[in-house]
Amino acid sequence: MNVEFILNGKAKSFDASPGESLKTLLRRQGMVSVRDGCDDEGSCGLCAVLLDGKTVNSCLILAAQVQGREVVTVEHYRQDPLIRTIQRALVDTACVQCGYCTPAVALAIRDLLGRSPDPKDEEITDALSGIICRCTGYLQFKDAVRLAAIRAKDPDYVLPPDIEFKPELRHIGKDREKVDADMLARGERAFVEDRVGEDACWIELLGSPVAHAWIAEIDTAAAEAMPGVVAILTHKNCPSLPYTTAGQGFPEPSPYDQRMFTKKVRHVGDRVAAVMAETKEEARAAAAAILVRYEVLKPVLSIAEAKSPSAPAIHSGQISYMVGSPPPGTSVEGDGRDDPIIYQFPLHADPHRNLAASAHAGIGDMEWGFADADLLIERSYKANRVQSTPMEPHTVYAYMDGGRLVLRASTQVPWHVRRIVSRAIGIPEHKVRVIKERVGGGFGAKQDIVVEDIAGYLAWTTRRPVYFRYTREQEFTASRTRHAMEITVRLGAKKDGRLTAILMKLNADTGPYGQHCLTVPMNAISKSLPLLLCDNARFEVNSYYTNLSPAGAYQGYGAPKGSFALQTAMAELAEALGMDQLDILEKNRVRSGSRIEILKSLGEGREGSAVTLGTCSLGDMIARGKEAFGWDGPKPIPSDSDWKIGRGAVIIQQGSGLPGLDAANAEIRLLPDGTVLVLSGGADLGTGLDTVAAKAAAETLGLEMEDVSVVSGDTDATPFDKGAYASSGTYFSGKAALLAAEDLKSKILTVSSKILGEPEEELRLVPRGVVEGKKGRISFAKLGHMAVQGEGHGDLVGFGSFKTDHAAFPYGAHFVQAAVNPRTGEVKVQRYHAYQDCGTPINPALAKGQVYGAILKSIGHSLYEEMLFDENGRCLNPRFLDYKVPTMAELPEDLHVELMPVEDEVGPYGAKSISEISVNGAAPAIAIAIHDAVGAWVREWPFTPERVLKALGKL
Amino acid sequence: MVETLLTPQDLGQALSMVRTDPAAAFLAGGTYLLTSQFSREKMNLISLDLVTPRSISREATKEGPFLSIGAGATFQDLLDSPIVPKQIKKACSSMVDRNIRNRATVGGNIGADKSCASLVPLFIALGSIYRCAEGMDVEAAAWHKKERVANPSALSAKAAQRLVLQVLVPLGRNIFCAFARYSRTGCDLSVLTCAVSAKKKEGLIDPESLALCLGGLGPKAERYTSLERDLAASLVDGAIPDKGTIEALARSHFSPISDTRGSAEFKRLRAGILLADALHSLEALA
Repeated sequence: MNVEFILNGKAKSFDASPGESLKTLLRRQGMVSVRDGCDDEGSCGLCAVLLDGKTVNSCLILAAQVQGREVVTVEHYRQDPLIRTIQRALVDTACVQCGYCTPAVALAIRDLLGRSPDPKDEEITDALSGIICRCTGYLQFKDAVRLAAIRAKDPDYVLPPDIEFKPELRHIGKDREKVDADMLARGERAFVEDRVGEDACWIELLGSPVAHAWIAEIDTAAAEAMPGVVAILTHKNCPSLPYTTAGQGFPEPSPYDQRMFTKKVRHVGDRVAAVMAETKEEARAAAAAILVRYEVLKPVLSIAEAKSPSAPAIHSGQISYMVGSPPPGTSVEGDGRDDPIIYQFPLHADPHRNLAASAHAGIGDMEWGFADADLLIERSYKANRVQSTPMEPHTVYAYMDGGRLVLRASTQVPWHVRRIVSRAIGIPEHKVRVIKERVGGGFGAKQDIVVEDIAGYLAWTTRRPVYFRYTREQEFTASRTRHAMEITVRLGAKKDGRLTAILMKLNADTGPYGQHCLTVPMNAISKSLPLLLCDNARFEVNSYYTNLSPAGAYQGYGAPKGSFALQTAMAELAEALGMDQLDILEKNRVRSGSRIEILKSLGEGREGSAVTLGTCSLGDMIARGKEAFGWDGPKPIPSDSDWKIGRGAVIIQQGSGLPGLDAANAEIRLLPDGTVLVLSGGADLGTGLDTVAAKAAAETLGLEMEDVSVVSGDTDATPFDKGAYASSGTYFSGKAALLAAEDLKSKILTVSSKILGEPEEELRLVPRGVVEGKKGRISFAKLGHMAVQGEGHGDLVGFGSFKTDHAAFPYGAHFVQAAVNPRTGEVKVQRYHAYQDCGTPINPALAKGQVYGAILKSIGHSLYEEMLFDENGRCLNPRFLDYKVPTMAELPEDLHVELMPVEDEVGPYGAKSISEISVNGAAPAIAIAIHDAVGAWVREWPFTPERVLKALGKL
Repeated sequence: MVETLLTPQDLGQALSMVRTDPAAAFLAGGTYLLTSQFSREKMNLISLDLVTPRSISREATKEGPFLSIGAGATFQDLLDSPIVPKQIKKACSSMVDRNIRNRATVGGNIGADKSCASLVPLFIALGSIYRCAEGMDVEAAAWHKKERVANPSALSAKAAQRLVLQVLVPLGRNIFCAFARYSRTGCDLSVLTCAVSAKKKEGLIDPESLALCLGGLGPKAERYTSLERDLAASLVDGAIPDKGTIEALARSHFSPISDTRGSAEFKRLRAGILLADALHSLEALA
């Protein structure tokens, strides 16, 4: 049917099918700013457009319904100056992280300012109520609206600088524009979906309807004969090469227990077949036509079931080790039917008994420590599965180019993708090129290779381009989620609160496969236990296979759950001793110069070593928080007597990459126009890592930010980087960029010395891009031009490579005030203060944005986010209508973040990490606040109204 | 999956089309019918976009003792209207997502007839009248009592006359009402909704007039007449009993099911609290 409407100011006429949504039609017309995070459920708001001036979700409107009406997308900014003003305001207030939601946010603000030029806070919340953003925590959107409102009246208004650090430096410690922010705010082509060619085929994955079964028969004949079908992959015709999907450094501390397809399915949604067809509809139809007969097995749906001696074995193939021997008493002989598992080295596993990995270690004398205690407490905590829900799902575009496979991927780990895909397909690594596009949220889930192997193999074998994109439901069922964990904490203490012994027993549910099966649970220990000084400490970590959805990396990487258990247990101990909970933390916490002995037992895949801490600002952060938060002051009296007020505070920590394991590299080239090109291996997920690299170059070389271009995460064009995980971006990739800049600076001075005839030590770089000596000067442009004219000294390229054994711990103190309704069980976080050390904040506003986002996510995890499963292992809430994530309506009334830096001696300009740590505070702080309000300990999170009422004995 | 889409220019054409294809559903804002939950079902739709506002009003106006709400009005239209009472606005606000409120219509909300439909409980509790196509007036409670049709494509298929064009909400200084909801988050769909209304005579509640409607406890929002009688009997000198009494009284009347949004036990308890809170916040429908 023909549809006529005004699109971005111009009358247009389109052909549309009766069921075609406005979203689909607009994307078909190249309006790529119209995104999709919920598969047309209408729950994410990312496909928003203005329809007759009002924001609407274009996925819920048929193209035919806009006949005669006016539609505006963010691409209209050239004709609508207010849209451009808003886009700039979003950039200037550091609102653009991954940028996947930014165009929708811009339009919602356009709608708002059109009807309310000076909006109040509640109007802003209402205007943005329909948009889910997982990165920002929404708070800075308010700043953007206010700034846009001012600039709508005064276009020349300049935002005054916020707090700055490192006064001796020009860019570091100051807010500078994120290098990709403007492009993302404009809604330009940036993501994988924007790169897909018109001739690309589509992949539809047929997932298992049952949690545990053998595929007894599979018949694809009818499906293969259907129109448009190019290829169908099953376990019968795919490579059967073992690998792990965990994008970790090789050799990985994760078992090789996966293959592209296998004859056994181990969770609902597990791979059964993949159909490649010329259109999405054809692929879907063919997938539905595949006939499968399952030999259904009893599923294992909990840690308790997995531990049971009578539990079915989820993996029953032969177990082998590349290095080392199986632990004594474990079963290694396969049943001859299931596929073998390979461990790169021993993880104290016993897969045939569903134990994927384990680690038990400690320091001191536990028996003596508990005997020496005046008081012992033992508490058990449970934390359920949560999903990171990046707004852009896992997606890849695979095609052949020059006889090589190219993967345009939304990934955190381009080099690991290259290695793992080449292994899975069975081709040499050099035959694969991975190009990381802008990533619409990763949060750890995109540290795993879940779509690239299938798409890569199909493109390689068919020689045709192919696009594979997970649905939102598949993000829940077949992506990677945070491990469910059960943690028992036993504490011994003297009457004055000093700890004599700490025992943490942790059982984790890694799901059907073992990616990150040991490292995530271990991180729950290694980022919580070292916060407390105790001579006698022990942990026992066991990670079990189950038939629930696969677990893996998620921001914090286990640390939030360890923090929840240990910090809450400390508060329970304080209560038992009649102490203020902050006093007991103060008595036992690490401090400057502390010797952290437990780190001997917490090596990351190798022997650990004790660390003597340098400067630790935890004391300052606690003191500042107590004062600014008003910890010792009276609690407010709620106007509604149903509500009670409580407070909680915690101390937290994280790491900055993996010392001794991680490595990062960067190159910086001087270009003929006197600017530089940074080739960074780092994978910017929207966190601003490319901006960190650009700042390092601009700062070191005396350039402005616009003089620096960044290309990153391309395995052909940029040097190796371990990828973006473990809070390593700024520390490792940023440091590599800094070293490359220093190397280039050195080369520039050497060459300039010869040209100017002055000794190097008498030359210096001065802004903007000039080498100045005592007698003469030469510009970078001249140097760069000479290099390409045959009269210089060749390309001037700096190279930086960084690895370290130094451990850099960021710390934080978080304070919460919550209102709890003991009638209904509801909890509202009213105030959240985070006092946070990230070393030198390279870009303060972006750093704070990371903290806001982490806090709001962790509030969601603490109060309502939870994957639910039925008795057959089927996820019951794999969509945003049922799995609730925070929206702007969930912002605490008072969300306050202060950066309190303590410079690290190794990190770039003294920086440490910031991206993960702030997810560690909410759960324990809120649990403690709930207890403070109503006297009940809720030991299972999320703290839903039902669980609060149960803790109160009302249900 | 939309099999066919008809785009009538006026109401007459729309009614004629549904008579020709009784399996077709009227498509209003689309915020329910076009969600992906129905994307794999074949649907024949009759779009009302061109019919509204020519034949289906988007206005809220006062008509004698009634507030007349055009079925084409969006939730945001009602929130922006200066004459819509605050209790109705509160019910509209329970659709928290502004993008959805800009499209979702009163008629669509009625037609979808979901258990937690935002406006339906209030319309039922207030004894509102649905003015339907072909001039029929039907009391809201009676309209919603019709057999629920599982297939959304048949939501409006019963007959052309089921198409609601206008809602007449009785107004009066002696009419008191309240709306309350429970949801898991600020921007969630409602898990439970509750609307209550009563008339007052000389400052005292008329027991005969007490009406309450709850959503989220069964397949659709419904009145709990036996609970109304129990509550009426519990009035002390025309005054609402304390919250604890109401909660205790209410629980045995509710038979919710356990699902992802809460256990039956929790919903039963929570619905009682919601009802008690609503009854204690009755305000004149001004």
